[in-house]
Amino acid sequence: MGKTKQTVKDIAVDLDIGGTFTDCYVSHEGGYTIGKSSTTKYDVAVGALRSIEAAAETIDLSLEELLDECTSVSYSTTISLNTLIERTGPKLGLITTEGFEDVTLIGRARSWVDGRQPEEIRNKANAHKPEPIIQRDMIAGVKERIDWSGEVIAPLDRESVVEQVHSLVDKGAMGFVVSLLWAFQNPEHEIQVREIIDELYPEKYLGAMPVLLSHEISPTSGEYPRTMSTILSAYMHRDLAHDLRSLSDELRARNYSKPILLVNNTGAVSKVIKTPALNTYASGPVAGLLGGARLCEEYGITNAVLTDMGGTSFDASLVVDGNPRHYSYHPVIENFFVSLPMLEVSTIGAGGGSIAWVNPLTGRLQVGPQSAGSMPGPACYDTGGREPTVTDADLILGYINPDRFCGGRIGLNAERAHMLMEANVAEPLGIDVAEAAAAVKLTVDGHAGNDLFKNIALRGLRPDDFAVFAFGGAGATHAVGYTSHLGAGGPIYVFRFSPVFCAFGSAVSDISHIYQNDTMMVVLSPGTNDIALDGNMYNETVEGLFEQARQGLKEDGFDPSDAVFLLELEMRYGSQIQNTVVSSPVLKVESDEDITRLAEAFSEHYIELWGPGSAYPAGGVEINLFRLRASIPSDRGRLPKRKLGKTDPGGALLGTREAYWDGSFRTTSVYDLDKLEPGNVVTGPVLVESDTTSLPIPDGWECKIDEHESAVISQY
Amino acid sequence: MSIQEVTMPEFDTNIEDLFSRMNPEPQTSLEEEYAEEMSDIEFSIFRHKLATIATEGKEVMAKLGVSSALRSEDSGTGIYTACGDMSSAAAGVYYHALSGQLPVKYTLSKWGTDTSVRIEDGDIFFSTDPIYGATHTPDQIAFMPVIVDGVLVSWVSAVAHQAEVGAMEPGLSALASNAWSDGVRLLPQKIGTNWELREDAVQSIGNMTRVPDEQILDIKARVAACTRMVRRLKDLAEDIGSEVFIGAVRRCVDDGRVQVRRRLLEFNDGIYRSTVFIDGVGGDMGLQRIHCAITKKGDKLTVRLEGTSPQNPFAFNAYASMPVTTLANPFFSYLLSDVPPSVGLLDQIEMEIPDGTCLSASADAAVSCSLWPTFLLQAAAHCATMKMAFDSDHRDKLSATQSANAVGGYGVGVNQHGLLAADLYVDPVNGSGGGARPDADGVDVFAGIWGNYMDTNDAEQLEIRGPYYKIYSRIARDGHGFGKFRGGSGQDTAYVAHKVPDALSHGTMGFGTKFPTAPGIFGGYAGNTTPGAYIIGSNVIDLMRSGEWDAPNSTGDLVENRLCEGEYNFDYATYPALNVTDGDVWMMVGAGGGGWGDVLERNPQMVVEDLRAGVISEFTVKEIYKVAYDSESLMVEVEETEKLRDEAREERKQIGKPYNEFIQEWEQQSPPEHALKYFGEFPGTVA
Repeated sequence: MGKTKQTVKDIAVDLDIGGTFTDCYVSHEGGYTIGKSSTTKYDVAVGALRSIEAAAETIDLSLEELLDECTSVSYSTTISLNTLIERTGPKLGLITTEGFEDVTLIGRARSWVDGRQPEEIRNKANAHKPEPIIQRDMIAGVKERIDWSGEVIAPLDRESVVEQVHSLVDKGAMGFVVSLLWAFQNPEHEIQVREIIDELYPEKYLGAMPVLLSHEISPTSGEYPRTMSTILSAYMHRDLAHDLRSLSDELRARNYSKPILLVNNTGAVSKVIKTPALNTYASGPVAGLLGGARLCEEYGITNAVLTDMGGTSFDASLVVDGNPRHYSYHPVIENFFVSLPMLEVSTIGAGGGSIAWVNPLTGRLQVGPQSAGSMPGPACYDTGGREPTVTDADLILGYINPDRFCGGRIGLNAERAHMLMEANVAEPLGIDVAEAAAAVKLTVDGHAGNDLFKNIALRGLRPDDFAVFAFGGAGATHAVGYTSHLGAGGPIYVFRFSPVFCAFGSAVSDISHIYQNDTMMVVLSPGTNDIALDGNMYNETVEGLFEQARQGLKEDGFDPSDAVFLLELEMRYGSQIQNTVVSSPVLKVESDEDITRLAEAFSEHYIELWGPGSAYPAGGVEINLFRLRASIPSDRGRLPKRKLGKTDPGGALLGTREAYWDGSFRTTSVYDLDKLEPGNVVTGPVLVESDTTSLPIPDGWECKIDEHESAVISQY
Repeated sequence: MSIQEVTMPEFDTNIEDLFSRMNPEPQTSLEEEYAEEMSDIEFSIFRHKLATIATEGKEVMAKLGVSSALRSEDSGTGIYTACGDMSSAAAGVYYHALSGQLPVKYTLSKWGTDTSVRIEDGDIFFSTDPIYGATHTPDQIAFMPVIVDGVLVSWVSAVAHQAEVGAMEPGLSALASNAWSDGVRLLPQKIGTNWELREDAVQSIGNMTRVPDEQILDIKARVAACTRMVRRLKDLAEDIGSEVFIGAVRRCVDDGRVQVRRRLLEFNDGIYRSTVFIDGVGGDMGLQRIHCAITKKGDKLTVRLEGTSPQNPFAFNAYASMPVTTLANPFFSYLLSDVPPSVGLLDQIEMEIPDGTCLSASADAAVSCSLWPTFLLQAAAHCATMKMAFDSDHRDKLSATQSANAVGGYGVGVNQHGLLAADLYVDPVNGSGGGARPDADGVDVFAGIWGNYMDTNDAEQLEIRGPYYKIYSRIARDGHGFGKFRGGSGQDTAYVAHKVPDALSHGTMGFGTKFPTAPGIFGGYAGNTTPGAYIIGSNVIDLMRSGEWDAPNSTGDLVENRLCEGEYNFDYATYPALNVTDGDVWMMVGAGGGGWGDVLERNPQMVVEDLRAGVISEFTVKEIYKVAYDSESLMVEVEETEKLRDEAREERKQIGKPYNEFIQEWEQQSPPEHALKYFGEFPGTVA
């Protein structure tokens, strides 16, 4: 990986600020290097500089020398969510349409369900809605009303705005969210409210108030998710802006003169100035997904499921046909249902910290949904955890090396894991401790596999068509277990640079933006199936989006002619509830044939997803949303290749350890993942480990190291 | 073409009384032989797999369907043994999956041996007849057999409420007076073979309704869900072997029964009673009583409904299978919320329903609104079981009754886009208030009693589909039962017709106009009542255009202060369908949950917080909770409050009397004669 300082050119730095670690991936002409440091929550810039410095050292550069040669710094993060979790954002006032002040408290009734696991949802006696970000007394209604077509029904009453703004300021508002009904169709009133606030509290004075308008943050239908998107953006804005300002100052002081780029939830990268805070909240995992797509390209893999089993959860995301672009348009953020497009990363199950217990009602083993998390953590961490977890089971089974967990930074107490597994699981079930631990692993793998299967199948895809990429400390440890429930025998990929995978993903992100228009248009009339689409209206809508995109790219300093554009339509039959997303084959309607082509493209895609009997063009066809993606492709992030050598892995053998296979402990060879060479093959039962993960390879499976130094596990 | 014989399970096809077959069938010899084939861990993963398959089916249905019921989770999917016993479900609404047993069992007994119909791989069946399983005509069921290597190993079903079913009125017909005016009633029948729907059959069903396209799309959605589940189950059965599969599917039922038994043993034996009332029938006012006495002994429950009012001449009746299946809701959403849902529950419950009640109506009765008496039964059963479970370790599963009301409406007509459409206004009904808990208030705008969770709509979602807009949408003020912990409030909202291109037919549903539906518990107040109210020819739109409109704080504020001109009408919550046009306004006040404990024990700080949030009125603070506060700062005046509360306790003592004396006086009282029109014998005998 190392290079001498004279040859290091074209440097790009990608930072991923996680809750625990700040990762850095530095790509340069001909290679890459990585750096890692602890996240410094008091000032993220400190940890960020340390991680860049660590990377710089590996290529024999000082921090300043590296930054001097650096052409871009990109930033992805998950810590902006902390503001929300810890409720440390500013006190905000919400201005909305009079009569609709309770919308965010009502939360479409089901806000007590949003973001919760099925086990939590079933007990209605234990339901709780999320604690509001803006309490009822800080929500004010103003007189105005616009209808679905954008027509003003009631004019905005200036007096009521002035009165409510003053009242909210008196109650301590430090910023405003303005969300009026149908503002995305006609933003006139929201803009007027901002003008009035600016007039009352002008920027030149200390009392200037930030004002966020819903139609600018989330120009989509549905007042609850649109309002929540705007509220969360306003709430997270202050801390994120502070972090970025601090990092920017530190970088500038060390010779870096270009702007910082932010990775968005959509997988795009944009300048700080053009990015609402909410659009970055999960950019770390999203960047990881982009990295997965780039690896698919490198490997020639069509479909892959990226699995990340960490301490508290099991996350999954998909690359389909080489494309990571499976979007969720209504993600749930900390139990709030919002409206913004983001690459879909689903939390679908238990993690290493999930607690194993015997249900007194059934007398049977259950794993989760409670988790020991990172504090107190699994029993074996010896930090106060009193219940056995999945990680404890892995340790008991011999799959984890207690002296090398997290590179030896966390010493594991196997005795404590054993004692608690015995007391809480083995004794109640009347089995021995090893059997209990094996049952825990079998259960967590089985449930994760079933959930993964459903998650893929619900997109109309075949789970056995997918390769598995395993990330997270526990991901590789359980990958063989859950993969077998997909109906496939692998391959499972474990990558060498997994520790900084999200930062790698950030390095391969395209510069791109998404533009949307919520106009509904009937394409084919119900019953008659006559062509009903107004071609001019369609063309004006599409051209309007193109114009916005071209303008946006120019503002970011890019030539729109370098961009790749994709027009997607959300379409449905009759008045179906949900839309199906279709890539439009028609950018401009010039004839009835174009309209027919549009309707046919929808039906073909629909049948592909849901089967031949499901289509019903006679019910009419509608477009409900236009979405244009504009992106400038990135060509960074290529993996270096090495020549395949001998199959014998002898040089990486660390020794042996007792590990549990098929009902008994057997003396098992242990190999060092970091020392395995391209071409080496180990066959199960065998253990492969590194500082960051452990791979138990069972009988009937083998692990090969490929030319990119990745571990590829499959059945033989 | 030769027909491959399908091996049927051992099933007693001689069904005299279908309702009596709600309970699990006897184990077949194959089920018994393979019952323990899997280890406990393998079985746990298998059962989880069934649950994910049922969930996948339900989500497919929601993705493809039209009815707003699908948007709001008024749906369910079920997986059954080869004999039709429910072994897994995804809900939505548990009784949808449970009631799917009846059409499956009917089909096994009737069509399995009929060579003109038969049961074959890839067959698609459908039913809308409440006699054979659908809870009322709108709850339509698609179901399919799972056949592996010529052996029938399982069944699946997909159920969802249909907004319009061709009854004598659009939507739900409260005025239907017999089974023939209730809407489309289809016996369980085959509507597709070899995985393909018969277009002639589907089009015919569509043509029986006012909105054929919606009906057809929703049939396709249900069938797509079933097809998906069948495909998954076939793969699973082929993978583990069909005999092992058969044994494990049945084990879900038996295992469920064991878990229910263990939970019931944790509660004290005794008789627990609750009585609730519906205050109208069809479009007419009048009381009907739903009485529920639950005798708990060991691991068995006997539920007796003696004292329940007789069958009525309108559609507020249910067939006898409904009371049985709807009990799944209070159990699986509360006391058994940690038990995988299966029909094993019913083996522990014995039902005693006298003939001729509104919960055991004759086959010719209208049952469009069967849900009303059965929701009330759920409320009564919930209240009784909470008393049963109060002295147990399961206080996290306790609550006062959530609202059992179903205040909602529907619009049918041509919408502003020129499309013929039917839609439910589900916000008040799906946003009913939750019951208070032993240590917390009920959830405001929570869910309907019949399902687990559901969605109300944003105004923008509704307004794009129909020619109307909302003029306010609030958490109902004082819309819940008061108590030490209060019930959750419902949603209070009003619509004004706007740019109606042609006629828009608007109707309502619900009850509880005079008598609340959610009883309080341990001294808590019952939830609120919910009027039917509308304004013909209002000038709301003119007021808005001229900037003179002040949005009301509540429907009470609108009608008491006559905030717009027009003809104000007050009616029962279910009133006959109206043809509405621009400017007409209809209001819907959602119902709240019951309170828990004495109002005088409520923390005064919580009282003023509710006042600050607008959830209660000043009147309630002062007159119900007896809290004194500074009207400017809303600070509690502690000493004055204590004084007021002491005085209130003294007043209670003054009007208190010995139990026997109270009973003597109480038994002399009677509701007025006109209120007893549909009641049956008063006071009558109750279990």
